[in-house]
Amino acid sequence: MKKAMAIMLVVAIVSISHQLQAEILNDSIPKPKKEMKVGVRIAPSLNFFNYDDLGFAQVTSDYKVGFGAGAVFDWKLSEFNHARLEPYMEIQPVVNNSINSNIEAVTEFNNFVFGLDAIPLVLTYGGKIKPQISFGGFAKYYLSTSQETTLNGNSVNNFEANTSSLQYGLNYGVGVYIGKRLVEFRYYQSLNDFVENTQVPNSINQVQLILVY
Amino acid sequence: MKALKKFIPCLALLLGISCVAEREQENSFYLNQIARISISTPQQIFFSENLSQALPVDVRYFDESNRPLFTNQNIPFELFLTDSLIEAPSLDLSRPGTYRLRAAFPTRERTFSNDVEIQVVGPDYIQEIRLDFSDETRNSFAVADNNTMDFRVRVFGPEGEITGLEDQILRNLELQVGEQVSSSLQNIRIRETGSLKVKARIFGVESNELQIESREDIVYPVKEMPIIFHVFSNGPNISEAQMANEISKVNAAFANTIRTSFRSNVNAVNGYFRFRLADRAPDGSMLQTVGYNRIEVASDFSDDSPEYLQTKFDEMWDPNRYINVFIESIGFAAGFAYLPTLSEGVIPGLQVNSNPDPVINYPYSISLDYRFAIEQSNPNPHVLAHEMGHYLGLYHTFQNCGPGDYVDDTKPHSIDNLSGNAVFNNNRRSCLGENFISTNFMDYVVNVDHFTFDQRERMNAVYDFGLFVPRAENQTSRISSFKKGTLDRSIEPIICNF
Repeated sequence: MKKAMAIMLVVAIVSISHQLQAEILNDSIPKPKKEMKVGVRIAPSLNFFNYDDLGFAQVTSDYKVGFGAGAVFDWKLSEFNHARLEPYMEIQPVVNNSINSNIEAVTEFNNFVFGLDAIPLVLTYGGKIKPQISFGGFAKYYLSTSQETTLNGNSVNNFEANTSSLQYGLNYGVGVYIGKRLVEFRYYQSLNDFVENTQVPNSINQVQLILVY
Repeated sequence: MKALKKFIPCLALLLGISCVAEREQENSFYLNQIARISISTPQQIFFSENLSQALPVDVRYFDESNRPLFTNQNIPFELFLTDSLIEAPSLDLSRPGTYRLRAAFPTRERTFSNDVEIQVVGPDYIQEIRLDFSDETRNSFAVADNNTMDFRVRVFGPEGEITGLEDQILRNLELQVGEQVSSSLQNIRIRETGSLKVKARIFGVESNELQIESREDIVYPVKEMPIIFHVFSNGPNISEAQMANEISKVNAAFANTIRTSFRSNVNAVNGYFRFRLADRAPDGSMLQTVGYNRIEVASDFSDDSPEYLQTKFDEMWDPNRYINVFIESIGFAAGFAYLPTLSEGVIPGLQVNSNPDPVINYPYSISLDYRFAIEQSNPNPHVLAHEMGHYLGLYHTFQNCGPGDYVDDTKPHSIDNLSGNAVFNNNRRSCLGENFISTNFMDYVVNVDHFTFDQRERMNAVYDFGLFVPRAENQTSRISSFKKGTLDRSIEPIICNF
């Protein structure tokens, strides 16, 4: 259900943005200048599981720090609206901890991910320094993954969680354009479970600090 | 740039204030595999006392497919005692009642175990207390102030025997032996004499009653008897060192100084018999080798020879002055000995010859197999003490379940149904089906250490009333030489198939 909704949402956003573009193209008023810029993004990230226990944009203290790098294709659709497409590679560590004070059960995952963010709605305002907010969707596919479970520091050999290679969901960003550069905090809310067949609902949420040059 | 510098701290502050959260539920993928918990405890019943009792619990985890999880791993759990979370697996015994014990683990949806019913009961729960002797010190006879005795109790309730509460039982136990009261079941020294009643009380509830006949030990004058070892010229020889060793062992046995790994018998006593190697021949001459006599026989002489018995009868030295011990190759037994004959019927189970001028008509002697008894100490090093017991009127303790060995303070038992090594095992079963440890010299067991009070009384009576016994007075006074009659082959020794 989540998956279907997410796909519909992404399709709708892309569709609306294309309609806007079409209307702009058909307008007899002088056409705003449509620019496409290409940038390079680097993005340290905080990665953490959402066990259906997080509110909007919440970050948990058990996050792991990851890092990603990639490209940014930025279309200026109007004075107040951009659209972006961002492919990137990412190292995505994430940890599943026990909260029991008497026992330390830890399952750690390390994913090497190819990700694609499609952000059709970037609203901006201002002159050279333009605050912006963004909304879009993302899909990530891990190229490789590894995991290790420890119990009180000792490796557990008989537990191997099945994982989903695809993560997808929504992202929300807030940031600022400074000339050609962009600084943005972006929250990624995954809509599918990463570990399959577990008693615990789980998805990987993420906050990225995206720096675009 | 100035705007950027203002904007980024604002963003960071916003993120910090609104977002960082701590987890509140157990979301571990690994631990959340738990689908079922089972709890068991070896003890479900406790007696009420004013203290706290540790509850040993065994908690196991299973997944959705009922496969065991986390085996050999220490997964902590929560314990609930009738809906109250308890910090440690313990029970307040001051509050009688029925409790429900459960284990739980804080999985995403807390998983509970099965319930175990725990009862804290009062003395009225006890229906019967059975007091018994311990196997190792089982005996209804004792010698006062001698060794110690152990007892045991079994407590029964409405659902049968109550087990696992030994600590509670021992804390609340009182054992009365005669007038003597103890708070232990172990190492009870019997101090009084007479018929003593033994009772246990647990939480004030009385057990059945046992009875112990306790006797005061007796100090006898030491009775010393000379031994002459006879060897046949074609048979095995015994060395001086071996003879000395045999004398040393038999004296230790009769002086009650042998010890085994088992508890010393509460009836074990000093026999006050001593043995020495004879130093003179019947004609009064000094022996070249003390205690040693060589008998010339044909080269084919053996215990199968027709003249075997007659030769021993003829060569036997005066039994009024010597204990005759033949060193032989018996082969089928470690030894054998003839029982004594008495002048009066004062001892049951022995022949009586009331003739005022008795003649001896059997080779009243001991025979030892050189290989088993001397060389190999098989089955134990005290074959001579065992045969000496026969010589002085004792039967095997396992003689039979009828009159047995005619001794009260040895447990009647039988080895008829035992085979192989069981014959030599110290763990015995009495004719009444009671298990006990036998270490009596007159048994066939591997570990032996004692003669009992009543065995000593029997041997003393033989010393006093036996015909042809080398009493002390026979060694020093002039006595007429003993008279040999005609060999009566129907008189047979007690053969010891060790």
